[in-house]
Amino acid sequence: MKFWLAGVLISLTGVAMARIVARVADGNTVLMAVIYILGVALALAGLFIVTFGMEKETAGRKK
Amino acid sequence: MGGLNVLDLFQGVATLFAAEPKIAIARLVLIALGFILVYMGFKEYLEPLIMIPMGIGMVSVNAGVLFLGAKALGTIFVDPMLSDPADIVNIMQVDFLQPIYTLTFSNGLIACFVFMGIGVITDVGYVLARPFTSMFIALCAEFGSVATLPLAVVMGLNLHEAAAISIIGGADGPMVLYTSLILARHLFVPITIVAYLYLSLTYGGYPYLIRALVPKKLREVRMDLTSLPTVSRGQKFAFAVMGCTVLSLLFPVAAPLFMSFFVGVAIRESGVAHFVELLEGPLLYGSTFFLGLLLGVLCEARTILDPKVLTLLVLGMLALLLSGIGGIIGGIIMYYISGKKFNPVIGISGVSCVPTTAKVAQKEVGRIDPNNIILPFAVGANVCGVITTAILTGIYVTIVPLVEKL
Repeated sequence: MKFWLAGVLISLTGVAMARIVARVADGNTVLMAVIYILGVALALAGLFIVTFGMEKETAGRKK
Repeated sequence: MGGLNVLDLFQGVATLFAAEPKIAIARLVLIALGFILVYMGFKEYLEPLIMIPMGIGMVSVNAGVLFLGAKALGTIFVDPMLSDPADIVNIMQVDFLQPIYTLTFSNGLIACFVFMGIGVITDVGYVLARPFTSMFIALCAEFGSVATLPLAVVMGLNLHEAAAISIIGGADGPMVLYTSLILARHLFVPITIVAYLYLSLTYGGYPYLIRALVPKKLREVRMDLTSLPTVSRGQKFAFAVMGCTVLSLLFPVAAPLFMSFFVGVAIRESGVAHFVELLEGPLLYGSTFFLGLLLGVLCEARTILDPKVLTLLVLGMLALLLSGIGGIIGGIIMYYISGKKFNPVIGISGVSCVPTTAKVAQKEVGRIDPNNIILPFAVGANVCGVITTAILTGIYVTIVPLVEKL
């Protein structure tokens, strides 16, 4: 569950960075691009973290 | 009888003589190419689902040119060049494929339909079982999609066109169609045709790449199937909903693609049998059929005769080759990371041509040892390839217009 929560939060933070915070830096193109790229990377990293929260079963045994 | 001109009886032939020589030659070449595609599809050297309708469409549209006015030549199949709404509505009463083109093709709907079908036949459980491995290989297999972009710019394409052709490296037909429609609408016909032609060739070409790059000893590595965990349907469903939401928030321009793919995954995992049957049967195969047919019909000599086609042919091939190489290199890296317990051939399945590249990987391993089963691992990388290509598509269609404004 902790991976799910952390992943979702990180993803949404990334989305907020890419879609909202990046726009605040509209005048400074380089800063805007950096924030946007960081936001996208963070959002995707969050999704990746979620995948580690899957309850997996290997040959009848839960992980 | 003395005034009878034989050519008047056969307008398809007469229009060859009435057209410019280069158009006439292009028509003859495209008719011949159509025959070849139909034959290759029939013999299953190329993907028959696409190649048979595409080849027949190509032959028919180039043979069926007629005099539409005093001197005007054309067909009554489809006119992709129209942009005025009044003209489009008028031509829909005449050209029999125009309604399908206008209402499903030019807005990307057909790509979304195919993607819904792909989603419903995709088991994301293989990705979630081994997320790191699948993601790493899929990222390596995007090498062609990334590396071809600057090369395309160097070869004279603008950034929109370069991004559209580069996405061929992701080896996902609907994605190429979608990207080219958004970024390079004027080139979407040649780009999509190049993509589908090459995607059909992967089944024949990638085995040679594997044999050239992966030593036989490494191809023999056995994978432990019992180590592959299973993930519950509920978790796969939740991941699909979550993934769709985050990616749509992140890349609104590509949201239709994400929605289409993940709605397919969600329906599969929810087990709504009627929807599963609809999406994996009539919708997927109906869309694939009309996609192939329309691609063929769009190969009319006047439409496709663009000096950039040769560049696109070279870049498309390069993108797929680099992606294949990237995937195999990723597989070899995983082989060493895993302590030599990972079969590097799985790397090729990171190229997201679902499920062709996964089948290629299994077939190549099976040639050496028929009892060596790597398919579940290959499917994981394969599905992850679809997701990474969709993400890359989202990045391209979002960022390229912004970069061009700078």
